[in-house]
Amino acid sequence: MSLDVLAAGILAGGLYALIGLGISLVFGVLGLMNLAHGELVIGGAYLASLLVVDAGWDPLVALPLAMAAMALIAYPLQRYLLTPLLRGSKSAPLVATFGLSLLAQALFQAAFGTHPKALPAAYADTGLSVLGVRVQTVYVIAFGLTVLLCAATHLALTRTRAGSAVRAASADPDTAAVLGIDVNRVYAVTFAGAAALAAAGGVLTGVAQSFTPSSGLPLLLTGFAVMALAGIGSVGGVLAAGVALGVLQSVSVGLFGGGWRDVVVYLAFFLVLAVRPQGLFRKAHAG
Amino acid sequence: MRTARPSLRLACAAVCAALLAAGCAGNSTSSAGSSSDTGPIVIGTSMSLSGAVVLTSIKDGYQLAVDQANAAGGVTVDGVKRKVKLVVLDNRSDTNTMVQQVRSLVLSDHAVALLGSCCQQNIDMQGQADALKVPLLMGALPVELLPKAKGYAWDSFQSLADGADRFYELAATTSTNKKILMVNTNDAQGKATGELWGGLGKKAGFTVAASKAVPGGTTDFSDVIQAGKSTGAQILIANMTPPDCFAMWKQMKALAYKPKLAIGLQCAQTPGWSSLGALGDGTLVQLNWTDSAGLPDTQMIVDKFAKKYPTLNDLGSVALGYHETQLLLDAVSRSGDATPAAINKALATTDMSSALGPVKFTDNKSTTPSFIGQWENGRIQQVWPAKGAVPLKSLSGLN
Repeated sequence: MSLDVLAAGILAGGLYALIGLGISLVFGVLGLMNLAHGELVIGGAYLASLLVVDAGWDPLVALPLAMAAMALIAYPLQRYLLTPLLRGSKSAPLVATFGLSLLAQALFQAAFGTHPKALPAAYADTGLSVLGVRVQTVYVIAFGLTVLLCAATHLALTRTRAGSAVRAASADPDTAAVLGIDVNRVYAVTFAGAAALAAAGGVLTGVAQSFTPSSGLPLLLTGFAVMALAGIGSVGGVLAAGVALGVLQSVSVGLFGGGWRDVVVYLAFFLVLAVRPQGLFRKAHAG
Repeated sequence: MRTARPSLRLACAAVCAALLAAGCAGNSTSSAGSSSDTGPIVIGTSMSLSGAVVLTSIKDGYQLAVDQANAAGGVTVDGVKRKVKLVVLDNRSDTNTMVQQVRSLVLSDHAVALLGSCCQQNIDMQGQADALKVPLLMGALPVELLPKAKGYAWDSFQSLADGADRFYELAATTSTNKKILMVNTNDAQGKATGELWGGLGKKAGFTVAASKAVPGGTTDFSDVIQAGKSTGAQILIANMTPPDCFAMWKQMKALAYKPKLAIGLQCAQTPGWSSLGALGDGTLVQLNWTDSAGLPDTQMIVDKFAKKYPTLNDLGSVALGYHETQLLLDAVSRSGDATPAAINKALATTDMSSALGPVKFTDNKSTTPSFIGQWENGRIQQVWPAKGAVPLKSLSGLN
């Protein structure tokens, strides 16, 4: 296997991590498996396309606006739809996010059509050579941005008052509420933050690849695999898991050919779930 | 009190259940119809009008032919003019839904004949048509891919072999080293297409220098590109879904792989190809219809739909739908009693020319002409065969 292929796997892992980070955040804090996460990713890409394709903006300039817009859309969804459902049965919010996923796909289709779209950018199809290894520029940008966003998320969770509230609400929402933390608001802010991260992943996906209204499901599965490999509650673990997934794909292609790429990845995914359900990058809880 | 760490295993099980539920979701759309001796003749179709594949342009072709027939008073069956009712159901790209809808169309709506969907769904629909003994007329499935069955499915479309021959004829006129990088999806259709194109390439004097199978949804093609570069292949044949081709084209350019000729089977037909901008320029596509080849009804189709569908491939899909329906209505008219068995028998003796060209069935298949087109500035133009074609341009997008 060449270094080019290995480097491509590592860099693609950055994008996987960015998509998985939001899923991990929502699951870790809210205990909610958000089946609409793929549509949050694609929604970010479509929102950016309004600025990039229609208004001629650079995708990286449109990215923060797409993140903010997705966060604004996600906040009320969590606050007024999903949080009330979380108080009921465990399955209700899961089904609700599945419904939101279908609804979002229908909306994308109605608003943007079904043909694939891509976000044009000068760095979408250019490459860089580093020590004889050639890589795609957009994946280098995506990797750098993912590291930046992972670091920002980690710092926000560990070094801010809001982060303390999130961790308290995650550990024990009842006690957190008694201590005066507005748990519902914390949930909504967390969901909005995850949506913003998803949107960033969507913009970069749109630049590096393409997107259609139904592109969300494979992205959801990728993000889910990242979360399972990483375990819950470790931002650094998510980044490492994304890279591990990318490398695993590259190695499997090198060893077995492209046809086995998904088989090897999902085999690893199920093995981790069976042997280390807490994830590769977390220690098992005692008791 | 809830646990601090939700169970990942439980969540996985829930996700799997939800995804399974998604696969089982159905479409409750239905409508009534009748195919009595004097009432309207009901023709049904279950097609992908939402989800992964959207065939609105083919549906428009179906409707155009039916509307024209009804505007002329209906189809003449045994000397009596009878209106035609087209019942269209959206199976949302889901095969299970399609199966249920086809049964509903025949058993509840009393459809006497069916029109096809696309691609693999047509193959899946063939079994239903045979089981229900109702004729199914399809396009959008290369004739080689129609399995041998009980005789109720009819395919009038281009052939993979013709398309490959046209491509190699065109490639022979260009200056390349005749080495091919072949990339196919790793499903049955991808494998069959790859073998056929590879075999015909060898016959035409080309060499498959590297062949790669990739699963749908692949986004990293670095190993494929490396194979193309290391073997020096100057001709790329990519048989993949559009999103996969989008990702690969970008990566090819970024990693400086510069073939001289590239064709995107399946993938480059999408009008979305234009969103690649200059990167997509020069890419070749296989077409079943062009507006410059002198096919029947071309001007009528262009006049009615060019505004709605500005690209050649979408107009070709309208022509395909129109063509299928014309053939079916012709068989209905010649059947004598508009029963499924009589229509099926009449289809076997079809001898007419429609929007995709002349049609005569052999073993339930009729091959229509193939063309090679080329993307340039967001448009596709025919570049082969020479009649009606514009000169071939270089693969500027990747060079």
